[in-house]
Amino acid sequence: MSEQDYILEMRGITKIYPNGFVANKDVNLAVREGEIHALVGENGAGKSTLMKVLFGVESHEEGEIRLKGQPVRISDPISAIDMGIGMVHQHFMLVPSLTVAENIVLGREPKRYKTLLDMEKAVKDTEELCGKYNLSVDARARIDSLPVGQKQKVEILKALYRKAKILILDEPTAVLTPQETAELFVELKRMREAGHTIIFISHKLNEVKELCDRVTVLRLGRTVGTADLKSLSEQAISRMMVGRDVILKIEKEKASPGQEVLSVRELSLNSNDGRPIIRNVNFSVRSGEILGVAGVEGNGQRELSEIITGLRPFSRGEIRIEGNSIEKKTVKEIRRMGVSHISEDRMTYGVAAGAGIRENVISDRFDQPEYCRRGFLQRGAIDRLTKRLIEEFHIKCDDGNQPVRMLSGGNMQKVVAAREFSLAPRLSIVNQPTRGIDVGATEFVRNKIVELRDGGTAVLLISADLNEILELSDSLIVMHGGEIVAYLGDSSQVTEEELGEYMLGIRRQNPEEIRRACHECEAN
Amino acid sequence: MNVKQIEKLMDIAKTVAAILVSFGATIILIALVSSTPMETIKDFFLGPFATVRRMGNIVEMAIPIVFTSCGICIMYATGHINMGSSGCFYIGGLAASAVAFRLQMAAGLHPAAALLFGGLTGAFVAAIPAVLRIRWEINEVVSSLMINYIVVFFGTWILRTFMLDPTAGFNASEAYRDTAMLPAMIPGTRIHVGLLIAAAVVIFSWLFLKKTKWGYQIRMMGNNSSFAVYSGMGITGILLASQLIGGFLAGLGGATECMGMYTRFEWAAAPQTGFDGIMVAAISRRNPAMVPVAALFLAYVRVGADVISRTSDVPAEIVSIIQALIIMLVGAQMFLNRFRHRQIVKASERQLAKEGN
Repeated sequence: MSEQDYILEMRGITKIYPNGFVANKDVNLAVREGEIHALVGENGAGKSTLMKVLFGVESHEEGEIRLKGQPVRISDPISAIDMGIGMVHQHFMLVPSLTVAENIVLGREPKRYKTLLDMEKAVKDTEELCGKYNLSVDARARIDSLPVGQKQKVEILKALYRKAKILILDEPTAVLTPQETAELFVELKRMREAGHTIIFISHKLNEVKELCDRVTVLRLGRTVGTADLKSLSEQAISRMMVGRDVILKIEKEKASPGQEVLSVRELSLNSNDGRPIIRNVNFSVRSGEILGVAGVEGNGQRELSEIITGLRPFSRGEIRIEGNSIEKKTVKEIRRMGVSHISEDRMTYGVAAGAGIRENVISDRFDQPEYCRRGFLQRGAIDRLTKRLIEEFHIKCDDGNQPVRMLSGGNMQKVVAAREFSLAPRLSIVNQPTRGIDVGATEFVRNKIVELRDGGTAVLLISADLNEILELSDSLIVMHGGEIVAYLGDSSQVTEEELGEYMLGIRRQNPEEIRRACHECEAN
Repeated sequence: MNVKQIEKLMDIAKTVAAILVSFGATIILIALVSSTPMETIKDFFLGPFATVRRMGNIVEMAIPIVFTSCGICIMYATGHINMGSSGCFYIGGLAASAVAFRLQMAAGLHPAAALLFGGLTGAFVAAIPAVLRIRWEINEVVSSLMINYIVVFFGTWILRTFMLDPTAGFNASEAYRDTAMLPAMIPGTRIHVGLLIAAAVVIFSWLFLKKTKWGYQIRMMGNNSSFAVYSGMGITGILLASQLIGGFLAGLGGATECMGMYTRFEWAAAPQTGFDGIMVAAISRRNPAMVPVAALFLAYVRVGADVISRTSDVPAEIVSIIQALIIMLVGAQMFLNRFRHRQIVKASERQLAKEGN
């Protein structure tokens, strides 16, 4: 095939970040006009970086970008947009307080008398665009009143309004329910028919197989290859991604739950403006079991984990850990009760990025007599601990003094896990434990969670990753709108579709069924 | 060389480059302004070392800055900026002076009591913005700057109402008792025992910040306060403690300065020592171990400027230009950034080659 057929070519792209991380090394990508091209790879393989280079967000050290055969220099997103490239970021770039139409025209507003914003035309343009691509969004709705799936449509419309011919979608399905994903795929296929070229970033291979024409695989910042998807099985792609066969099946025995460790009764939380965030939630976690909390993000899961760990006060109800109420207890006191916590937000809570691994792993135990005498930190004991944890958790690093910010996402998460899992906790609150980390680290962390359970820890696992929830939990609850809408006693009997319906609030169990989450019958 | 080492080296290179650039600018300025440029440039750089007296001046000038700067290193490590060190320094001097002429004590005990009282009042002043911050979330930069004025005018009132010696001929307190004063140490200079106290302060600050559990908590809070909370640290206590210690050291500095360099309390305005401390803390990258070096450097430049203002036609204010340039360049995140990035790219590529890819 001659190069004229490619609408976009990236050749020999090398990108090195200021912390020395080589995100892309001699990466090649060639996309044909009018195709949906999948860009796959593990987390940290360099997909997002490559797209940031293409969109002008990051500058590259070496390499060349060609559009329709012509070499171009893309120095910033504005020039990328002018060249007909549009990007839908993983984290939406919308102004929450503005309406859909205002967001879409932002920066390219239709004007009256060349000065005043022509709101009517903005709305009309938006509606026309919606009609043309058959995307249904209310042009006058405020962004912060929209669900995630709708926000994503606004992002896509925003790119189309700027006349994007090439559309980059960075893990668009990560935030969607199965039903919303299906809808998105129909829309993307329609856009392909209208002549748009789409670059679809994902690591969910079934989606790639269903939607895309061709695929380029990245691994560890390099191109593994490009192939036609018709001739490629999911297994073959996954082997290209990881470099070996992956079995993301976690080996675990059936749980044998013991005594109740965490009991949550009639828990409610209202926001500052009186809006209910958590409504009358009841459940228990017993030692030696993993209770999963499924749900679309933003349905109270984050708040729930912050309440149990003492980071956030609650409005009503009672929480007991091994019989002791946590009311008015500080984070430190709750940790001393044997509670550990992996936060969903690694960079904000999980680590002090500028500090070394050593300083990160002692943050919950630095004042224990083992590590601190008469106020002085015991260098020797701390070094031994750090060394042991680096080995035990396979943390890839130069040494224990290396600042955590220089580590990859997966290794950073291992630092967090090393700290939170190594004090033999009675209860572990594990929130999105494998978000944004590579397959190897994911497998490792998941196995550690099972190990923890087998050691008798009660685990509360919160995850938006359906696969993870179904794979790891022994039983699970589903949260929607701050309530528990279902208790499913045996995770292995649950299908993704069933879970999706509960998550979206289409289905809910009756109160008696939900009440089983407290295990009170068994106690009697 | 790995990335961490490159980063460290680049920090040092940046400071050295900043100093060289500012010296270069100084030379150009002198050449433009002075009628005897060669003489003046020589006087500026070598003048401070010409006599023992001048060398003594460098050390005398550096001592108070070391106190405030160490305190600032500890306060800034939490990530919260307190601009009130000048006020703490002033009130520390005033409080020590009161002890020095009012009370009668044995020679060894008297200065110790004066210094301790000075330090405590400094800590008290520093606590005010911290408490305002914790209790009502009042921005500590603004409140601590304002505190400086309040403290100085309050101090002036105290001086005039309770401490004034009408026979002195100017606004000054009664003379200190001999027992209270810190004796001079080195003949031919005015270097006093405060030098030893300053050395102790440097060692204390470094140990405290790097080796104790309190210093650890302060540093973690400064690195990421959400992480500190999540790990179970009480950050309001940490914040308050660091401000109290920082204020104590500044107050102690003021007291030491008064007991070592003066015979009466006579400050009519807020001394600039607090702001000098901020500058020195910035140059030493908030590392107490580097504070003495940076403080001596600043004092050297000032003595040099002092020398040329007396021997040539260039005014001493030239020193402000040097200071401003150094601070700007040391603080500039992107200064030498391209050079730094190239080094890191090279190191990463070497690393890749070594791994056999």
